[in-house]
Amino acid sequence: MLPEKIREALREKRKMTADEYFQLPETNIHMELIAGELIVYDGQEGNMPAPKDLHQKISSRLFAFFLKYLDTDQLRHAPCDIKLDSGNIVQPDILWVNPQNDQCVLMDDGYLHGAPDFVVEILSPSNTRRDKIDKFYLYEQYGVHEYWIVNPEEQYIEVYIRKENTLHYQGGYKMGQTFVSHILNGATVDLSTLLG
Amino acid sequence: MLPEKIREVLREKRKLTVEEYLQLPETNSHTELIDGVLYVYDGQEGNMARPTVLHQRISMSITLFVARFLHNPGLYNAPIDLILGDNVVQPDILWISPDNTTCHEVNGRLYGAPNFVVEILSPSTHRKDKGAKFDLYDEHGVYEYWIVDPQEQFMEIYTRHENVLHRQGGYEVGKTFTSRILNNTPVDVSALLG
Repeated sequence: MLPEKIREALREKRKMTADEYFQLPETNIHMELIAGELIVYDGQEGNMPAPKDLHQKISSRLFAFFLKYLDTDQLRHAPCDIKLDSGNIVQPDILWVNPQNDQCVLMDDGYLHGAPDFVVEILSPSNTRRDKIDKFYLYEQYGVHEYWIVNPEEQYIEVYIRKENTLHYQGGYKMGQTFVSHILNGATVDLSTLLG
Repeated sequence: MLPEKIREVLREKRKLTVEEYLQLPETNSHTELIDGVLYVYDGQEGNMARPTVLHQRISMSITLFVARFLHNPGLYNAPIDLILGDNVVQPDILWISPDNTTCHEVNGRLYGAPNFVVEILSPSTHRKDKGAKFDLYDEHGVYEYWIVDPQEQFMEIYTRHENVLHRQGGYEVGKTFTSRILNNTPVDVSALLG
């Protein structure tokens, strides 16, 4: 059950700062603050839907796959707050921070501040626009190096990699195809094993 | 009604060359040939869905909008065959500039990359428009590519820099972006998708 303070903020559609967001009562529900707007994914009262089983299954598979290539201690799955600036806190489905990275650091408040190196967002029908526009823009602006947008229903992955100041579209890949991931040290990724 | 010859190819899941595709009987259904596979968008017998009213309405508003800036002749609506290497695609909207040197008309068909392509997504075409067709437009030299999501009401814009299509940005209803192909005109997404 969502704490009353959070329900109140949603009812009043009140814009908030990152500081106010962090003072909200603790909850395990997936939430984000985008341009000062609180977004709660619990499927209640006109909120965004909670993740479906397909979403979570793909999330588990991806996470298990990444463990083969990436340092476990630096890998996180949602919900994990990432503060990007005073109006934006995101909870990517999966993220990884390069230990050498100094743009994403764990601060005294116990949260990660700054963009991770690698972000994966798994689409739900209702969040396509947010992942492809609002969060895309934030990840691009704050320096994410590789961004995967995974569509579990349509079974394909869009991969974006950083080139200078922008996230460049590496390509869209469907079942039966493979691609090479820069962030996974050039590993070949087989779509069928991840999304099949 | 889809000609029997086309239904036969679909039933047999037979791979086609561009020459074989162009010899198929005439149809007004939207068809494409990608990596040798024939796709028919008529909503029949397990084929891809037909365009919806929403799809066609947005196609019309974008056409009317871009027609104010783009030289005509040169602007086309689907279905029109565009041959790119071993593939035949039918973009929702395309434009060939008067000084374009990559796209030629031969026997009533277009060969080579137009300057500008718009694809309007249907739930069933997402993967193709961001996958196989994106790669074709990228490789063959399309200069600006708009991918429009009518359901979610946003569009992604890709423009060519140094021989590759770069993502210029994603824009939702209420936002405005500048289009290079439209002489840097500001485009109000609400006017197109609202």
